[in-house]
Amino acid sequence: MCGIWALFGSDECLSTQCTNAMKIAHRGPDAFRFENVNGFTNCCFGFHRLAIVDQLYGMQPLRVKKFPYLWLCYNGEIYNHITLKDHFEFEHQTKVDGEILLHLYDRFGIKEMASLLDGVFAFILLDTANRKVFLGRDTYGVRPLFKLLTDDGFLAVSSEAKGLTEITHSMSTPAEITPFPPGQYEEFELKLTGKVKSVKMDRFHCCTVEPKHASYNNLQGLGTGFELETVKSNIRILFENAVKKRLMAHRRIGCLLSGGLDSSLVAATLVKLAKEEELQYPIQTFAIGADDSPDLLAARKVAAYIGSEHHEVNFTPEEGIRAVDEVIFHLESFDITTVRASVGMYLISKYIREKTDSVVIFSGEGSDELTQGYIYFHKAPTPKAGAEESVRLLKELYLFDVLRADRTTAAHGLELRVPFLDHRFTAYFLSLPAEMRAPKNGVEKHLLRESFKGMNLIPDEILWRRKEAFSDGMTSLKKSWYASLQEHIESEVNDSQLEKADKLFPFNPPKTKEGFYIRQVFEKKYPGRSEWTPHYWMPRWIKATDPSARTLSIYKPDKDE
Amino acid sequence: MCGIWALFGSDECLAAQCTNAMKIAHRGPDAFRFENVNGFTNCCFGFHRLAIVDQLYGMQPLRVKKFPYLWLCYNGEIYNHIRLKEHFEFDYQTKVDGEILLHLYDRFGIEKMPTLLDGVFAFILLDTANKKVFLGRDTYGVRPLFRLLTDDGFLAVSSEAKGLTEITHSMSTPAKITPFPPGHFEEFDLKLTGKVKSVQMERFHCCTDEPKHASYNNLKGLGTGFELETVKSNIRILFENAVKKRLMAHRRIGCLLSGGLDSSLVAATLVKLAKEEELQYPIQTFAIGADDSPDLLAARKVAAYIGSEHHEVNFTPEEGIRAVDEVIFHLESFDITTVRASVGMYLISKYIREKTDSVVIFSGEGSDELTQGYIYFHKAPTPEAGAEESVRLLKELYLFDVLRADRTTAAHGLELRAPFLDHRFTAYYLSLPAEMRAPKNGVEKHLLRESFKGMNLIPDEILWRRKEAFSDGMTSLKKSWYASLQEHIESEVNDSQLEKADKLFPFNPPKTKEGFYIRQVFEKKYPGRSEWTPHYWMPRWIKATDPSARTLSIYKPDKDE
Repeated sequence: MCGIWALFGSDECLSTQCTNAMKIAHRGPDAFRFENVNGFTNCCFGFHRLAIVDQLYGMQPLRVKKFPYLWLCYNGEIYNHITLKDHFEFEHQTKVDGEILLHLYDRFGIKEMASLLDGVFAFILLDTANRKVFLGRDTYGVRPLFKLLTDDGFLAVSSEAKGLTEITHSMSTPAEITPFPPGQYEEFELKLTGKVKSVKMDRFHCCTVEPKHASYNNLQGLGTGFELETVKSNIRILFENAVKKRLMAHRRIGCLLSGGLDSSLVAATLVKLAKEEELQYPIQTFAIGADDSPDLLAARKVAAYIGSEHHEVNFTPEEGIRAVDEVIFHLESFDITTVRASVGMYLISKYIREKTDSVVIFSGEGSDELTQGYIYFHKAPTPKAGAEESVRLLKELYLFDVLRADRTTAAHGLELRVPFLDHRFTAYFLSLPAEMRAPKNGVEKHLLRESFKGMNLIPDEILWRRKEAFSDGMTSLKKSWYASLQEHIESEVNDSQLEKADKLFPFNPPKTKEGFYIRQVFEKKYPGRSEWTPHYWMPRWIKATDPSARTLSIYKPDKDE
Repeated sequence: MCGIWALFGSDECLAAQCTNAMKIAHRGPDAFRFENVNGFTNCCFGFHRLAIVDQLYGMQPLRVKKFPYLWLCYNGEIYNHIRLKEHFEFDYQTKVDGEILLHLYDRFGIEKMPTLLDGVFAFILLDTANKKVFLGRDTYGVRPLFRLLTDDGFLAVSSEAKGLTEITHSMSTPAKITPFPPGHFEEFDLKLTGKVKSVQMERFHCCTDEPKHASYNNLKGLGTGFELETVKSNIRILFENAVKKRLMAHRRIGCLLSGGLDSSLVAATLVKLAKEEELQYPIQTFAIGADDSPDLLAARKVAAYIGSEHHEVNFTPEEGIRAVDEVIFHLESFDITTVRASVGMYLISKYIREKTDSVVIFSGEGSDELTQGYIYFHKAPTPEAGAEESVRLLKELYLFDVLRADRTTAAHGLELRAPFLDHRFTAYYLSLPAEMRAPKNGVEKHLLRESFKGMNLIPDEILWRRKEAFSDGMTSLKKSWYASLQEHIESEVNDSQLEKADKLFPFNPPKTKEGFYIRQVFEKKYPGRSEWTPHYWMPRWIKATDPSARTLSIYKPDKDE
C-alpha cells in the first residue's frame, strides 16, 4: 500500500501544503518523498511508500532515463507488468511494476495504457513535454484516489480525502473533494502557470466486459458455453488465477479468515498456491471475534483443515466502541454498515501490524456483490433483477466494502489483496446467464459453492455455511456487535437530538441514534463533507430500517448445524 | 547554490519538522526534495536545488546503482571531478559533479575523500551499510553548514542556521546550533534508533598547506624558489587557474565589480578566459553605488577597459536602511562590519536576480585577507606578525566576509564564486616569505599589484588604486554609508538603552548605537543565538572603536589621482 499525493498550480507556499501530504503517511510508513517539478515550481508530488521493491529506484515520482519528461506517482500493483514488458519488448530500467505505465503510455497513449493494466491502481502521470496531467483508477477502485479541482484550475490529488481537506487555495468557498470514479481516466492540460484544465474524462474498463489485457494471458483449460461443468471449471480456473497473480509481493503474505465461504476459499487457495510456488514461510490467517462467536469457531476449523498458521484476535464490544471514532476518521464515511463492519477489520489489522510480520493481506471482499451473497438476494423478483443489482453493487463497492477494506488495512500500513475483484474473473462471472447466478434451493452463492463442491479445498460444512455479515458473525448469537454499539450510543444521543437530525444534517439525515452518533463524529472530523457518502448502504426488496442481516427474517446462519 | 538539510533520529513527526527545511528554500528556488531514509524512518534529507545539471538524476539525496547504501546531500562544486574520475577510472552514472564523492569514499574512505576534492562544498553523507553519517566542509567554508546535536544523539544539519532554529526535539533546553568548522569532517555512528554518536572530528585541509588534489593537476610553467619574477609568474598562473576552473557552470556567469583591485582582477581574468573558452554570451559586470561614489566611477573605467556588459545599480542610503533588517535575517550575524558591507551586496544581488539572467557570480572576496589588503596591515609591527594575522583572518572568513558573500547572494538564489579563495592559490601565496607579502612603499597588496604590472589586464590607475572597503566606497567621499546608517539609528536607540547594553546583551555587548540597533534586530530574529558571532571583526594594532577604513588616519584612497 502506498500513499500518493500531488498538487498542480498551488497559489500557496508548498511548505504549508506539504503538511497535508503527511496526513496519509500511515499508508506508507517505510519511506516518503516530497518533491516539486522542474520548471513548474508550484507543482509537486508527495509519496509514502510501504514495501520497497527496488531500494534505489523504487521511490516515486518514478522517472526513467528514456522518458525524462514523465513523472509517475501510483499506488497499486500491476500483475501483468512482466508479461507486457516481454510481449512488447520494452526496455525496463527498474524492477518496479509501475514502470510499465511509462512504456505503455509512450507506445500507445493514455487510454490503451490503462486498459492493458491487469491490476489494482491509482495513478498520477505528468507529461511535461506535452504538458498533460492524467489521473486514473482501476475497475473497482480497489486503490483509492480523491481529487479537488478549483474553478481557476488548481488541482490537488490524494489517496485519501484527508490529504486534501486542509489544502489552502485562493478561492472563497471550499472546493469539493470527490472520489475519482473507478475504471476511468481523466486528462488535463497543464498550463505554464502550473494550473490545469480538464479536457476529457473517459471510461477504459467496465466490470461486465472482459478486460483487454486478458488476451495477453492465455489460460489453459478454459471452456466455452454455459454447460454447468464447463462453467464450474472456468470459475475455478479464473479464481485460482486471480489468487495466483496476487502472490506478487515483496513482503510476507497473510490472509483474513472469518470462516465464511469467501475468505475460506481465498485462504485455502492461497495456502495451496503458496506451497506450489514454494513460499519460504507458512501463510498466517487471522480471525477476530468474541469467545463464542460463530466466525471464530468456523475459522478455526478452516485453518486446521488448510494448515495455516492461525491467529485469533479477541474482540470485545467495549474495545470496538472505543475504536469507533478512529475508524470513522480513517474511513471518511458515515455509512452505518461500513462503520460497523470496519471496527473488527480495523482491530484485526492493528493486531497484524503490531504482532506479526505479514503485510500483504488477502481478503474475501467483493464476493457478496459478485455472487449475490447478501441475504436479500433471496427476495429478488427475478434473476435478471438480481443480476442488475449485482452489477450495481459492484459499481458502488468503492463507496462501501472496498473503501472499508482499504482504509482499515491502510490505517495500519497493510496492503490489501482482493482476488474476488479480479477484473477477468468478475467479467466472466457476470457474463453467465442470470439464472445460474441467482440463489438456488434457498442457498445464496449457489453457483460458487457448487463450483468448489468435491474439490476438498475447504470443509463441506464451510462450503455450504450460510451468510454472516463479518460484523455480525464476530460476536455471539445472543447479542450482535451492532446491538452492543447501539446500546452504548443510546446514552450518547437523546431523543430530541434525533428528532432534529433532519435540520442539522439536511443531506442524508440519520434515522437512528446509531446513525446520528456516527454522523456527529464524521461531521466533527470532516465538516461539510457529507457528499462523500452519497447514500446509505441498504438491502433492497425488503422493508428494512437497519442494514444488518440478522434483522432479516430470512437470516438462517449455519442451518445445517 | 543549493540548500541542504538533514535530520537523524527525530523524535518529532517529520511532517512538523519539514517546514524548517523550507526556510532555506531561497538557496535553491528551482526544485526541492524532502525524503526519508529506508529503514531509518526518523532520518530524512531536504534539498533545494538551484541549477539542474542532470535533469533526471541531478536531484538529491544523490544515490547511484553501484552504492545503493550511500545517500549524499551536498552543496557546492567539485572542479576536478572529471579529472579524478578519469584518473581513477570511475564508472559514472550521472553527470553530477558530486558523484565523485561516492566513488572516492568507496575507494579511499572518508579521511582521504575530502582531501582530493578541489572545490567548495558542504556535504552530508550517509552510509547505511556501515551505519555512518559524515559531515564535511571546504577549506574556507565558502559553502555554509550548520549543525545541531543533542545530548541524546539527535543530529540536525542545515546550510543556514535558520533551517534549525525551530526544530523540535525532546530536550528541555534548546540545543546549540554551531557553524561546522571549515576544512574538517566529522564522523558519526548511526544507531538503529536513527540517532547518532560523534566519534571523530578531523581536519583534512589546512589553508597553509598545498592541497593533496594539486598533484592531480599538473600546471605548466610553475617555477620554484622565491625569485621575484618566478613568484609573480606563479601568482599569475595560479590565479588564472583559480578563475578558469570556476567557469564550470550550467547557468550564465557574471561578476561583481566594485572597481577595486580585487574585483577588477577577477572580472578582467574572467572576461579574458570567457573569450578563450568561447562562452556564447558577454560577461555581465555589476557595480552598486551612489551617483558620485568612487567605486562606481572606477568600476565604469574597468568595465570599459575589459569590455564587459556593465550594469550600474543606484544605491541610496534610504534604500540601504530599509534593507538592514532583512539583511540581518539572512546573515544570521550581528557583526557590524559584516552588516554594513552586506547591505550593498544584498541589493546588487537582488538586482541581478530580478533584472538579468546571470546566476553564477564571481567576486573578489578573500584577497584582503590573503594579500594583506586591510589598511591596518600598514601598522603590523613585523612582516611575521602581518603574515600571522593574514592566516588568522583567512581562518575566520567563514564568520565574516565569506558568510556575507554567501548569504547575500544565496538570499536571491545566486551562486557565488570566489577565486581568491582557491586553496592551491592561497597555499602558494601563504608559502611565500612574510617580507614579500607585507605592504611595501606604503602600498598594501604590493606583491599582488606587482604581479600584474605591465600585463595590461586592468588599467594602471586601478591596479594601484588604494583600498576602499566595499561598504564605504559605494557612497560619496563626503558622507560614508555607515555615517548615514548611524545617523538614522541615532533616532532609533537612546542613550540610556546603550548604557544598559551590557546587561541586556552580556555576550559581546554592543558599544555603539549602531551595534545596539543591529543586535536588537538580530536578537528579535534569533533570540539567544549570540554565539553565532563569537566576536566582532576589528582592525588590529590601532586603537579603533569603529571598523571602517575611513576612520583610520592612514586612509588614503586614490592617492595618485
